[in-house]
Amino acid sequence: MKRGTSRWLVLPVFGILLWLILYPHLFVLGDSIWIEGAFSLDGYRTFFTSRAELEALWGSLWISLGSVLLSALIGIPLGFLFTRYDFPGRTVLGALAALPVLLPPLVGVIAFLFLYGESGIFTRLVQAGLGLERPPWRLVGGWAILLVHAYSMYVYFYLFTAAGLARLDASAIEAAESLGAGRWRTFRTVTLPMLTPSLLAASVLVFMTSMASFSAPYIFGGGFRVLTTQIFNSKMSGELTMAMVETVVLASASLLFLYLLRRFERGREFHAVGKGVGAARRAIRSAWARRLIPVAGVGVVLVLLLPHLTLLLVSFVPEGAWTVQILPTRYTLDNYRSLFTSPQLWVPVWNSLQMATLATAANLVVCFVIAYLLVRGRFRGKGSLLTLTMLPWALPGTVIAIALATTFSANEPWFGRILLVGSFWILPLAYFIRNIPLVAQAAMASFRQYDPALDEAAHSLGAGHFTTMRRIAAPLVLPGLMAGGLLAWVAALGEFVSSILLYTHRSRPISIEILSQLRAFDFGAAAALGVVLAALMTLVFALGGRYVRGGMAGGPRG
Amino acid sequence: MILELTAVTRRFGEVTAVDELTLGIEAGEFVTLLGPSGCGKTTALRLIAGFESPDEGSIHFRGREVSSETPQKRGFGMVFQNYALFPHLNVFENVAFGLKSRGRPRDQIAERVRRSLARVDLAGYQDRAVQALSGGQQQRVALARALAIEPPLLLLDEPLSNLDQALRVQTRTELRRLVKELEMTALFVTHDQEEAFDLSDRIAVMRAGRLCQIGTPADLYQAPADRFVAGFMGRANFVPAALLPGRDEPGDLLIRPEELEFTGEADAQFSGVVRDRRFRGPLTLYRIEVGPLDLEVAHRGLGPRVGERAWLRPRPDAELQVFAPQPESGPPPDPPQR
Repeated sequence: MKRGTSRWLVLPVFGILLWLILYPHLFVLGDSIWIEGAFSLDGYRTFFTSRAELEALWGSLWISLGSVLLSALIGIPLGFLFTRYDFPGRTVLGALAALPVLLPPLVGVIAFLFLYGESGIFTRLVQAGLGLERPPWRLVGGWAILLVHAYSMYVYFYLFTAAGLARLDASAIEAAESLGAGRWRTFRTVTLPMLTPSLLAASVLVFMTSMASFSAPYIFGGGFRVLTTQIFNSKMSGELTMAMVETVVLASASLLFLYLLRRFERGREFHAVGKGVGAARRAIRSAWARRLIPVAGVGVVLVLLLPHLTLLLVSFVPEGAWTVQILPTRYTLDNYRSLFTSPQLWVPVWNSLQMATLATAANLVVCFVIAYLLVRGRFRGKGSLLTLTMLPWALPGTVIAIALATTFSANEPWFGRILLVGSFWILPLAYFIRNIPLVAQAAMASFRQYDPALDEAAHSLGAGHFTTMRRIAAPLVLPGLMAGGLLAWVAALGEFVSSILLYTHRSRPISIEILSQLRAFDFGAAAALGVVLAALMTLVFALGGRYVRGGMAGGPRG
Repeated sequence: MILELTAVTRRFGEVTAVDELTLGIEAGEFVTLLGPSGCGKTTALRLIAGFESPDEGSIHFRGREVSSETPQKRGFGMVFQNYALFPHLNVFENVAFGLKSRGRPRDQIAERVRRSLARVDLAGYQDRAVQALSGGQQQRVALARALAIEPPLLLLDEPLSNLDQALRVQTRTELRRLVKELEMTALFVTHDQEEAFDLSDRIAVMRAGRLCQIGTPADLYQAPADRFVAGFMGRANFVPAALLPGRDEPGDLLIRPEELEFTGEADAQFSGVVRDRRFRGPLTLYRIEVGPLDLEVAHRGLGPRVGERAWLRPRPDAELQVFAPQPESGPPPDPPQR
């Protein structure tokens, strides 16, 4: 790329990102220390002396560490089992083990509610089976949050372990064996160290996702405090300074941990020496294990599938047909029919479609340019551009929503503020910002595998600029970009965390409607909306998942 | 015999990768398994190393049946095609790995590693990261790592194939010298005939999982067991016996390019047209069209020019081998790979 071209693209892109990403967060920082027209640290003083606030900070941290530990305990063994061993049903079970990703966060949470909640199917089944008067447990508090997190986040460890093992050079393991190392020693001194980068990446992902998690603590938290719900409560009860302080604390804690983990990661990266050889899978020889593993596998998959099945089942239940029974009494298609006929349900679906499409269109254009600049451009400040682009990934959705709500709540064009809160535009803007890292990463991956020499080859064969674009650039870059766009679209469609802080009744999205149907005890309608989201997500993963390497890393969270 | 394979067979599904392979290696011998890709030579090596177990047959090492033993129990040193260096360990730690696994005392490990690295000319490289080394250096670290455990048998799986031509030739000279100095027994796998000639005391030629012939390089060149071995070991012309006056038996004669010579028209046994000639220093290589045949001739000095007619005969002192005629409908033999 010529220097001139990049310069006139760089400035507007930097301008947009600074204005929409950095500025609102600085604004929050400012608001947290600028109280009633004067500088004051009272907000922070209150925060760090309040028992409840410290409890929330501590809660966020230990839930996140606990989620990492639990997810690793489930995901790593599964990853080894499915990559290193061969047994009947391996392929199918291996694919099914990634199922939890197909539930958007809020939808997964309500599926758990229908299944394991106080009046959930499984809970009542146990209650009836044991002849108890009360439900055997209440799905409330820290362990409930941990359970939901482990269910939805072990997939990161599972997939990263599997991918790491697939990349691992099998002959390194054979070399260790031929040098006299036994199985355990080989695992400890060769396999595990070579797998460390993958495991660290998965840990970072689970930790950040847990810190940002809102749906699970919001629905199951009960009295258990974490920062995300604390921010929401402060904002709703009008304690704005406290909301700002909490937002700053959450953002700083997330960024600090990300920084620490990345530092730990550095120096542990290495590249395979020479060409790797794929690992051969060990056939499981022992007869009882061969019989046991498929049975256990089916059991595990059933547990993983239960939330999906429950959601589907409940979506056929008309209002009032499931009150105190174990299973609902009647099933109809009414809920799906009313998705299109009842304005109460159709309006949010239409809203979400519009807002997600708008946001994604903007993502495609802006992220295409960003990726082009980051991969091909030569200019100063490339590192800052990358940091700015990835910042929304590191910041919890709650933080971004608060920042937007604070900044775009007044009309002061000279200060870069326009009034968007209360209008239709604030949600598409939030979706756009949250999905920038995801789409930019997809586009960058496409650009990286598009060698500039291909352009030169095309030119040398007599192709002009337009032909080169059409025949070379477009087919190479578009599939990845579109796949990233699809993932972003479906994430925006089900977005909940920022929406709940920013929506207005007229422009309420699907997730908010799910919540209000839940509050009105119309579980069927809530589930039907959830099924639609999950089905779209499945479709998108089937269509475009393979184009976006690590697409899930930037995928929908919350 | 230090190592004996008896009717070893290994199948992968439908494919029989190694088919009743019987092979014996003497202590101190350098033996090469040679064959085109997919002939089962690497599988045979992995069976010996213990990464595969045979479906049938037995493997004896020093009289002990080892085919059900794990690789670490056998303790044969192995050098891999891609070197398989541990990327998270430095040069010292890579070479020390086998010694540590054996629980050797620290000072002994340090001494052995130092000696091992000195042998492959890498003294002073102990603290380098393996990624920071060149391909040739990585290859030598892999060799040092295998040698450090002083294995009773050294297995080498195409260890030179990732090096460039000049380095490959130099490295194989050093490799042979080192193995002979240490009086080691080595089994080497390659598809490169020249490499096999240069390194080996004996060569075992394999094709489609079976052993075709085993012998010294000279044996294989001068008395190949079949057309395949003849074609794989250097260049070969197959000339129908009937073309030569006075020989009316059926079948084809194997005439090596250097066994053909140009003569005057009077002494010639047949003639053809020069289609191409390539200057190779001491020799000039000719391609000569004789009826339907394309014959290769290696001639000392410059002879006839392209387009001219050339009169030819086998050297009087050449002992020509006869092969049965090729079956009409049979599949053509695999093209030799070089």
